[in-house]
Amino acid sequence: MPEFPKLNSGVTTQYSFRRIVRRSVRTLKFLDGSEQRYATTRQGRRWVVDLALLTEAEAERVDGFARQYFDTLEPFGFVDPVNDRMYSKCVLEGGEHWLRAEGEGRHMTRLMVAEELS
Amino acid sequence: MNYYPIQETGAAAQFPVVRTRRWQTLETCTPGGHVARGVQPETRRVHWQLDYVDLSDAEASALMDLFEQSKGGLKSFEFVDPLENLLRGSEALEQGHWLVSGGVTVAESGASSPAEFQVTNSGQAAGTVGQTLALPGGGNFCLSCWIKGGAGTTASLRIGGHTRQVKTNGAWQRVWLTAPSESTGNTFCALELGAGVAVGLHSMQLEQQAAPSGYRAGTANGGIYPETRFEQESLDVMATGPNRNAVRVKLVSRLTE
Repeated sequence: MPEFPKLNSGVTTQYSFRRIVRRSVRTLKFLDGSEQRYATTRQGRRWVVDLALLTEAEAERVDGFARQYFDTLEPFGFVDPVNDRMYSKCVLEGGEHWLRAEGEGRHMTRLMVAEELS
Repeated sequence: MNYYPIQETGAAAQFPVVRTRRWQTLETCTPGGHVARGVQPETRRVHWQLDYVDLSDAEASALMDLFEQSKGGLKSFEFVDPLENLLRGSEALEQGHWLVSGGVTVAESGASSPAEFQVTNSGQAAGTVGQTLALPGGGNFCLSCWIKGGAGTTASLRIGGHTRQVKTNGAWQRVWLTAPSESTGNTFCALELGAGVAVGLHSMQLEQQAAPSGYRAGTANGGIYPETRFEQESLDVMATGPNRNAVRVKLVSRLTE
């Protein structure tokens, strides 16, 4: 299984990054004011990984990883950098990957990682 | 074939450059949270957003001329990705993309990232390891690599008819040659070794600029996009002063790899 790419420092993320948990609930409201609630689609965790000041090699590694993922859609493992918990089946969201070059050794990008529930 | 215009510096773009790759996937979601996905490789596209400032009138006019010749987004032209290594498969010198002279052998050695190779010319004449590429004429291209050979050993870098001889010193050193591509036709870019010379080699890179940037592994299509189109209905060139212009260009190409 592919591994999420590491930067030259050996880490996978930089500050700031976002961790998102979502639980969707649909609510039906009745005329008497009562409500009926039920959980809808289950969703796993999500991480928004913003990376900046990447060298060319780091940018290429991240870009190559995104390219490989979208070409194959093969899930990968991602370690939550806060609690070191391994989420073994993750995907990239969005259907696109951008890379912004602001100068030599100054690249930035964003990866939207989502845990896949099975 | 039309080519994307080259600036007076020999480069094709200025910082910042934004490159976005897009894929379309088919997704089926179930209430239980299971998602089935399918790839649609024919829908892959790569987009560039190029912001220019301080272009001369001639440079701005060249962009406007190409826009008119291409009828906006109708006709295609060749564009060289400023963020890619133009050498195809730079991590696999022993494989098909590379033209290796008779008598020259290439074998993987040492580290795998970036991949290191031992290149040996056991022939009786000079030999090369390189690629022939359809580069736009007149642009400045920089061929670079890390090389290691015995003290005093010589090797040459070649871009078309331009060569630069380099002397190794027993340690890994980065060497490069900046030269214009051939004005017409393809350009041969290579490392050339004299008879009996053996060197270690890694991180071979070709890019359209004056000096080498950090190494990027070359992909299978090498960063030359012959079917690129404008992705905008108008080209808005702002004159910011005498002989100074600013413009944003949006391009799109299919990912053919």
